[in-house]
Amino acid sequence: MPLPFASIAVLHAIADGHRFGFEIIDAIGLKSGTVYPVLEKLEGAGLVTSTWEDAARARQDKRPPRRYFDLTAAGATALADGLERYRNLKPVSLRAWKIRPARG
Amino acid sequence: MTAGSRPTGWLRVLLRALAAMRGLAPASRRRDWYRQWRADVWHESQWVSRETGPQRQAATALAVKVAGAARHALWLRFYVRRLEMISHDLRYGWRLMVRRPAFTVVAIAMLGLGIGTSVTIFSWLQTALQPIPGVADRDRLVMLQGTTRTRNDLSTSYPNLVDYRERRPASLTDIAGQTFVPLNVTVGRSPRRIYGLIVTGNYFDMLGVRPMLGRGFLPEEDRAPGQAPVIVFGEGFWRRQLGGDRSIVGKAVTVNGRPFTVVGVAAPGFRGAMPHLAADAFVPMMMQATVMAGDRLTARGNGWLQPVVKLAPGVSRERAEADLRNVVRQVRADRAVSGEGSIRLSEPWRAYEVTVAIAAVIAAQLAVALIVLLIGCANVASLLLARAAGRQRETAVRLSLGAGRLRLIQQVLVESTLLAVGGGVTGVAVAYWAAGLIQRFVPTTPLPIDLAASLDARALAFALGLTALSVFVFGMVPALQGSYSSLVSSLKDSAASASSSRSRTRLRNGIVVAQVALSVLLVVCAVLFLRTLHNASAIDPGFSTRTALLATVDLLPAGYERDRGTVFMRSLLARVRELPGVESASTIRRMPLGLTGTSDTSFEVVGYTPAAGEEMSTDFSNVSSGYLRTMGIPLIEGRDIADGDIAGARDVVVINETLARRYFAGRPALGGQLEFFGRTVDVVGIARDGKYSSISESPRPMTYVPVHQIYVPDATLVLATTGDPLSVLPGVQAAVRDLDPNVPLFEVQTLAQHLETATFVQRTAASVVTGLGVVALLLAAIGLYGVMAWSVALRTPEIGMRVALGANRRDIIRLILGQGVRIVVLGLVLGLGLAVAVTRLLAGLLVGVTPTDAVSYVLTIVVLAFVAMCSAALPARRAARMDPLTALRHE
Repeated sequence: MPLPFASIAVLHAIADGHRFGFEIIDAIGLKSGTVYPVLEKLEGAGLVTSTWEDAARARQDKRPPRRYFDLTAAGATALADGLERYRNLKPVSLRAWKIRPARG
Repeated sequence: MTAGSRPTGWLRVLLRALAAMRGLAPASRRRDWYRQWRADVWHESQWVSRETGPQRQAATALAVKVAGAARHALWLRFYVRRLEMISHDLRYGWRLMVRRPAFTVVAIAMLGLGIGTSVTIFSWLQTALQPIPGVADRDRLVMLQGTTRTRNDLSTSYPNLVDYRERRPASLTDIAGQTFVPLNVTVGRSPRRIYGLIVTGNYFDMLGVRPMLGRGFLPEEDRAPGQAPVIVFGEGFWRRQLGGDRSIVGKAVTVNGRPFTVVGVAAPGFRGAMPHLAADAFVPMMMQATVMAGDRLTARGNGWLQPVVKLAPGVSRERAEADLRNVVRQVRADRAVSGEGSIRLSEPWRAYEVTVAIAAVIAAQLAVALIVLLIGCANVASLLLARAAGRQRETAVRLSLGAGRLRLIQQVLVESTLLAVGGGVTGVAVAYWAAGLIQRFVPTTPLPIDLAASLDARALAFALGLTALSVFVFGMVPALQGSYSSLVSSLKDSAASASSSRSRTRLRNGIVVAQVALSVLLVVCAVLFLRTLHNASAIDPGFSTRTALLATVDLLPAGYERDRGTVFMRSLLARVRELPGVESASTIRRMPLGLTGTSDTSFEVVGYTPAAGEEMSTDFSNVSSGYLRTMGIPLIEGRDIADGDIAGARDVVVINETLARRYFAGRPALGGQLEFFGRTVDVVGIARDGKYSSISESPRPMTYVPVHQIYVPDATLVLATTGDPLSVLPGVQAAVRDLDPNVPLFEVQTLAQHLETATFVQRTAASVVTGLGVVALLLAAIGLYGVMAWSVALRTPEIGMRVALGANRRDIIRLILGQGVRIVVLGLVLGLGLAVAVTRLLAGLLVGVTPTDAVSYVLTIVVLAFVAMCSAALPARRAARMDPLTALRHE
């Protein structure tokens, strides 16, 4: 089954270097109540892995260790497939809404 | 404020909110959830504090994010629980299955058998209903047949076909003509006898069949007779017999002694548009004179084609039929054809008596197989109920510890699903192996009958549906029953548990009653079909000879014209009549009761005026002298066809009783005259009626014409023998070889083998339904045994008490058997009622017995009572042998 849009967006954000929850939320603009479950599901499906930040280092910064996410090989493949799928969306005319597709 | 400082005021509020939400997350994930959120919030808050600008706005955004933590926690709760529960149930179910391998194997075997048979027969049914594979738009293809008042399966003549096609209404896309012909084909050095179709030029285009190699037929190859000796091979023949030689196209081959050019190989999977028959080659209509006797392209009265019609898209068969009937009426008026014949269009599987019979029999078998599956499910349900009884205490403990009933039902359903999936997989494996078995029922006939069935996506979907259905049937009952058992009584000791199992016992008894009833139904069906087979084999076909050898010669491919052919046949007959062991010998064009059907012709009776619209048509057979004597067909009056009935002598005919009665009412038929084939013939004999095309047909007119007066080049030798028919075969082969080594002898079989084809549908029905009936009986017996054994185990203390108080063995046996008898009698009564209601549907498939045949019912009762008592006797005996002390201690 193809991944839903939210999952692809999350994978994309991780691939783009956003490594933990709030960063990902800020990068893609979805709600936290959506993004966290998506992360769990992706991890369950083996598309991302998570690691806890080195505790010593966090202590040095006097803050709790964060949970970092990273893509697995399967996650990268799924992301590539998903991007391909969205790239292949049929172009639609937006003239009726008086909107011009952005150039560039 | 510097990085890493203690939380400030509003951060502390957020963290406290987070801590308050902790309870929402599932225990197993709570710590991680909290750590992750706390770290993320902490980090963000530092970032917010470091930034200059609208702090309030950033803080609000952070608060909104934190609100999402609640949703995340709740989501986790359900996500984790679902995963955990299902994996727990799966593991638990798997452990139960492994721990009781006997139970598991029996349950899966019963389900697998039921699902396997059903899926197998489902795949057969699909084949039966779609008898023309490998064509485009097969839903739009229908067969065209001529009809009269009494017949609806007449062939069409070529001139009529051309007229119909030229004037076809818009509701028909096209009409193509075809008929099956045996061909002697020589490729390279080796001659082969194959079956081919002679087809009109539009054949491949209309059927949407693209050649795999080369081409189909060109329009100009369909114009002038004899001008285009070209042939297209079927893909199967090309692959099997010609070794898939891709250079075959353009090569010269010999067909019936005439050079032909191979122009193509048809697409794989296509085998012609004759239902259930597989053609190996295709030749154009204009080559008719090379492949069949006589010039049939101009004779309007001579029907020999089985046209196939393609309906226009979206047009119903009824519409097209009505339109085409108007065309037929015009054609008949314009061409001055007398009588009131018309046409009908029918789906391929409905076109012939035998195709309908095949479909009907297979549909009946599918119903039977589904009932067997149902009985199997009932057995598994019963076993699960028994097992649930063993787990009653466990269930009660779990309920009292707060497990929800839904939760328990889910667990039982997961177990059932595991069993059903096992059954489904087994079933598909069985079906995969068994789908091809249908071809075993095809009789030894010269025709290339191909019922090849295979498992396709639809059959697999059917298997999946059946698996789901069986989970529902056998899983739901114990699931509900198990979860509603009384809590208190189950937790108490076993004395009370006996009373709580009462409802379970009732349920199991009910299940067995249903099983017995269903197996009564199946046994009745099986007995009816067995009696049908017996009757069909015993039906008097109108001839008494039973030991005879049949062998066919075809002089057309060997290049014999009429005169030489006549001499050959007379010499051959003279020689084989001299062979030791041959009592009598003759020939006939087509043996009665073959699958090829009979030939018919229009005719007139001198002195008989047909009623308005009465269609005068009769079957006919071209026979040699002594045919009636050889076959043992009694003569009512007059004489047999004799040696003197040759061309130039007086034209004669022998008619049957029905013809004599119908058209010579009140006047002597002997010495009367018929007119057909453009001549007037004298009736010299009247033969007894017989069966000509099927065992169940009603009496119909038949005429025997001397083959030397109305010549055909192909004939089946009939040699009535005193001993083993095959013992005379070497002599016959030698005789043919002596006369002409180039004339092959083919389709050699005994009369007994030939007669098997006549009862092939009945035999298929009888063997499959009987097999399934036995399985059903066995399953019901197992079910009954299970219930009885369980009941004995349950009543052990009671039995011990009775024995201790002085009951003897006979009393105990009577006690236990009495319970079994009640179940069986109830099941019998219900089953017989069911059978009376249902077997009426089979009336059309039965021969010589009515659906309410008393003998069949009595036989069923006897068989069932015997089997039931056997399976109840074992537990009863065990109960009677019980040592009262042990039994009492059981408490």
